[in-house]
Formats: sequence, structure tokens, C-alpha cells
Amino acid sequence: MPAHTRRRTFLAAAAFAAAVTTGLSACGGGSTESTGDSGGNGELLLWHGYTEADGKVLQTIVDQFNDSQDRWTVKTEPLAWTSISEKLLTSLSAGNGPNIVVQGVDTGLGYSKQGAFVSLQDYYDDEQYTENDNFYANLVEQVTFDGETYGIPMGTTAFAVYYNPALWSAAGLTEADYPTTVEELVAVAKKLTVDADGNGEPEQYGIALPDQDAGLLSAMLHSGGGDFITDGENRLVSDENVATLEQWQSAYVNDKISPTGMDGTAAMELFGSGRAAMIVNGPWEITSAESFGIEVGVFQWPSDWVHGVANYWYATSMNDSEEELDGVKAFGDFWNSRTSQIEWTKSYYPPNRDDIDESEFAYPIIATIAGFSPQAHYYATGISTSVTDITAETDSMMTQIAQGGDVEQLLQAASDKIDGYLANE
Amino acid sequence: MSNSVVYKAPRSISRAKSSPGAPAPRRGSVQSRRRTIAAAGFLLPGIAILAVWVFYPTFYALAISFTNASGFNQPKFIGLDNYARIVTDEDTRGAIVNTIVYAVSYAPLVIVVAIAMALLLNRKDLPMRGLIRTVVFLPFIISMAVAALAWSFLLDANTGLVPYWASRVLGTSMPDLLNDPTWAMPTVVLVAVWKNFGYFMVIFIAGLQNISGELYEAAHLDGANAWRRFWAVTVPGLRPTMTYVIILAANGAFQAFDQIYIMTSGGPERSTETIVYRVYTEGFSNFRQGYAASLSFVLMAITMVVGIVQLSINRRQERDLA
Repeated sequence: MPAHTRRRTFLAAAAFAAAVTTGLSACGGGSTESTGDSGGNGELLLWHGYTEADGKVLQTIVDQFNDSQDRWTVKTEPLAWTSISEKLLTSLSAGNGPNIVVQGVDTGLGYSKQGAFVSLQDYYDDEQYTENDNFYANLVEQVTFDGETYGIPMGTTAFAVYYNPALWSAAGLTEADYPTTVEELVAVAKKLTVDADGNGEPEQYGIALPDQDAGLLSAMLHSGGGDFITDGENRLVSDENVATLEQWQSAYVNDKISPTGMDGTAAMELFGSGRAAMIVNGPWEITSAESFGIEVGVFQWPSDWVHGVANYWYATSMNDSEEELDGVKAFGDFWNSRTSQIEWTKSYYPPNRDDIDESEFAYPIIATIAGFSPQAHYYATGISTSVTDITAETDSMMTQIAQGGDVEQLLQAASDKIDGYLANE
Repeated sequence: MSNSVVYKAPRSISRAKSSPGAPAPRRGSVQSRRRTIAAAGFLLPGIAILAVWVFYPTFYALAISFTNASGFNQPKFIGLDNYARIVTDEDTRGAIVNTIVYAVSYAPLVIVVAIAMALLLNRKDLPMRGLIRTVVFLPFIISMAVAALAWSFLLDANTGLVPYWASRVLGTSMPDLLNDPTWAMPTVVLVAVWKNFGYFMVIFIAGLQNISGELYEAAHLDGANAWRRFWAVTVPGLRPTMTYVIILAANGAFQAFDQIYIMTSGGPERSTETIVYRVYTEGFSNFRQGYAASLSFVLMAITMVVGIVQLSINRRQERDLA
């Protein structure tokens, strides 16, 4: 065989080998072994989206769990929240997903209906798990679908009003001025709004109030005696909601207490830049504002109903044996133990249970925030497949209302669209 | 001289034949078999990669587009229900319109800007030509996600530098570009043009350098002014390049997603929601991967039609010129 032919044959063979390798590696899974052998050390893969200081606290507690027993090893994999949403279903159906995943209450029903999350009712029924007796009642209710509870509380908190103490003092306000009604909140926001040159565009806004935030919309509606979507039933059109939204529209349009066209992230930037004196947010605002050099004060949203963030540990369909599920429950129980929950307050989240003395919290401000937890609710319940479309619709509606649109017409139009989405659930 | 310039596209490469003097191996001979095996060996990596990453996902997506697949359930055959739903789904119809608006705005604009810059930066007398070319090309090499994020910060109505300086210079505030339904789509299009025109410019510069200088000299001697030379020499000379760029730009436009996802999330008031964004929402948020797959095939059909129309126009023009 001539040399050039041999060389060509060799190259072709190498190319063939590379092709086979490519094909095989593409077919290979990346799953973590999850034996669940009752006598051995089963590995449980955990996906979460905490990538800041809270992620470090999470890892500390996971390490403590791994050290506390030798039956299970929880291996964490931090991912962007959006990556989790994109990869979860496909990875589970391909058999290489996580055993435990952190997700919000909003996705629980959808994934549970798909069979991607499995029931954790046994965790609440089995007496060997003792740490769930002191959960705030609303935390368990929110993840109970058709009588089965699917989640174990992970990181939960109520939204509250955070303020910039320097701007607050400059306006002559003190703690005695903490508002207890929506009217008082708007009045305080007006005092904090500064339009020195009188051009109708304040240099300082009283509050960063995102109009593209379905949670805040829900809090507004409930605080005004109305409702949003409860148990999959659309209750958007009501006299109470019209009155409430007209009140907020006046605050946006006439009093200019907040700019419009903002989502939660834009609101945080505005507050961080010092151009807004207050913001409705969760405790991550503390570290966010700190990064801008702002120390914050906090008071309760002036109503007994506020939206909250409720993240849960969910057991996925990867747990195909009772032993593996036992591992998930054991980890969830450890996470919610007094010791772990005190550790968790280092992330600025309040604990999930109501029996920890405030002197044990990592920071004094957690005591205040923890006091709001009983008022925290999920903004809409009973939606499984249309959360994104419904929030897109209400965001659009609220922006138009905040910019002076006809409240009644906009409410009706959004409600009609939402009815369509709910009919396709 | 004639106004028309015949420019042959480099298609001849694919039609290349062995030189007349080369001995052709006999069919069935050992040498012929070895050559076939070698050819198969060289082709296999490409075919394997295409099979795993293109053909299999494509056929799988086609299959599930006729089912109620959620990404996790056992898909059930539902015939053409998903395709029928596209017609009645108001959100999808809006996304199709938005996609077409995006494409017909973006593709011509990016081409005009790219040609203009290519003509400018092809001038040998331009100082610092290399540096300017590099600077203009730079946005293309950063990811769209990073570019979109940067522009989101720059254009933020309350904290962005662009509105701030606009108000300082103009003395009046500019519209909230990303939150105003009138301005959001043009803004997203302009960011995509800014990001990509450098790439098309480089392709056009390559095309310009393939046009013989003698043609310009002849046109000049015939008394053609710069405008006339552009239309009579440059444009016909760039025609094959243009076909390639138009198809590339149109394809990119129909697949617009990342900058929209980051800059507007499809809003405000769904004014920037494109087909791919809809595919993403239906597939990953609404648990309707069957429906999302059917949408992606509608998108594929649209891009194929655009490509076929453009290629047929180009072939007709080539025939006319020949």
C-alpha cells in the first residue's frame, strides 16, 4: 500500500473513531449515582439557585447534614434559576435530573401535575420527622394540592417596605411615621417625593413601586379588600379592585410617587441609586442596598395580606425508591431543625418556624422581618401551566393603569385574557 | 462599456471536476474501494455530529409536534391540533406579526449599515483603517446576552447613562425606550443591528475586494460618477455576497430571542414577543412542548420560504446578467 494511501486510511480511521466517540458521549448521561441502598451511602443530587451569600449559608447547612449522618450525602449543584426551569423537566425525563430541587411555590402545582415532583405527605404524617410542628401554617397550605403536600419549606419570607433612613430623616420622618394603612403609605411616599425644579419629573421618588410585578399587584388588591386569582378562579374584576387600582393610579399619575415601566430588578436599581426612598421587597434588599452603600430600615406592608417568597425543597421523580425519598425527608427535616434555621438567618432570610427566639437570629433586623411571616401569601393559587402568560397580561395591564389608562376597561380586558388561559389549564 | 458586470459566484468549487489528465480509478478496483472507505471515514464525523445534534432532534421535534408532549408525560398523538391552535392562538399570532416586523426592520437595516461601513472602510486612503475595522467588529464577538444586558443598563429610563446624557444635552427627557410599546421593538432591532453589522461588513469588504479595480477605472473613464459606479459596478459585483448576507440576516432575524429575553422579556404589552420567545414560553413555562415544537416548524417553514424566494431571485438575476 502506498504511504499516502496508508496515511489517508489512518486519518479516516481516526475520524471514524472521533465520530463514534462523539456519538457515544452525546448519548451518555451525567446522572449522579443515587443508590438509596439502606445500608450504604446514597448520594442525593440537589439543584438550587442561591449563588450569593445565601448560597454559602446553604452549603454550610448541607455540609453539616452530610457530617451528621453517614447514610446520605447531599451533593449540591448551584445553577441560575432560569437554567433550572429550562433543564428540570428534560433532565428528569432523561433520567439524569436532581433528587431534590429548590423551586418556588408558583411552580409546585405545575410540576406536581406533570408527575415531576412527588408527594412528601409522609414527611408530615410520619412521626419520626419532628421539625415540622412549628412551621407557619400558611407555608404548608401553599404546597398542598388535592390533599397531598409536595414541598418542605426551604426559604420563605414576606415582602416588606424597606427604606433609606437618610432620605427618611431628611424628610423629617421618624419611626413614629411608619404607615399602618395604604393611605398613610401613599402620604409618606408623597412626603419623600422631591421635584425640586418642578418639571413634573421628580429627582427623588417616594417609593420604587414596580408596576410589572404580579405579586405586588396581588398585595395591592388584597389590601384593598379584593382578590386576584385564588384556587384557579379569576377574581380580577370587582368593584373593590377597581377602587383600589384607581387609588394607586392616582398615586402614580398625580402624586408621581414612583416611576412606571419597572419590574422588581429595575426597582432595586432605582432604590440602590438613591433615587427612591422606599421599596417593597424581600430581605435580599438588605445586601443589595449594602452593595450601594445604603443601610436600610424596614416596616410591614400596611395590611395583613402581603405577597411572599416561598421556596421549597421538592422531591423529584428521580427518587424511585422509598429509601431515596427517606433521604429527601431526612434532609428537609435537618434543614428545618432549630440549629439549621438559626444558621439560615445568616442569609437574612427569617426562619420557617415560629419557635426561635429573636435573640438567636444572626442579625437584629431578622426579628422584624420574621414578624411579617404570618402575613405572607402566594400571590395566585391554583395555576399550573399559565403562570408566565398570566403575569405577562397583568404586567401589561398594571403598566397601562399606572400610566393613566382606564382602570375598568383594562381590568376587564386582562380578566378576559386570563379566563382564556385558565380554560386551557 | 456595458452597464452590467458579470460576477461569477464561487459556486464552481462544488462543481469541480478532476483535471482531464488525471487517471480515473476503475470502478470496483482496490484503489477505488480504498478511496470510498477513506471518503466515508472523513464524512462520518460530520454526519455523526449532524445526526446526533441536528437530524435526531429535528425529527424528534417533528414527531412530538403532533402530540400533547409536556416534556415529561407519555406523549399522546393529537394529529394536527397543535398546528390548528397556532391559527386561533391570539398570543402566537401576535408573536408571528412581531417576528415579521423585526425581520423586515432588522435585515434591510443591518445590510445598509454594513454596506455603508464596508464602502467606507474599504478605502485605502482612510487613516487607522485597521483599528476602525477592529472596533466596528468588536460587538460581534461579544455574546448577545452580554450586549443586551449592557444596553439594558445603559437605556434604563431611571438609572441609565443614555437617558441621563440625553436629558443633559437636549434638556428634555427621552421616552422609556424599553418600556414603551412604541419604542421597544425599534430599540431591540437597533441593538441587534449594532451588535451584528460588523460581521456583515467584513463579508461585504471581502466581496468588494473581489471586484476588479479595472472595472472602476473603466467606468471612471466612461464618465460615471461615484453614485453611478456604485450602482453599475459595486452593487452587481456584490450580488452573490448580498444573497448570502440577506439569507443570513433574515435567518438571524427570524430566530431573534436572546436580546428580547434579556431586554424586554417579550414586553411591554407583548410588543416584542417573537415566535422563538413564544416557543420558549410554551415549551419551558407552560409545559406544552408539543405545541412549542409545532411553532418551531412553522418558523422553519417561514425561513425556508424566505431563503427559497431569495435564492430564486438571485438565480434569475444571474441568468439575466449572463
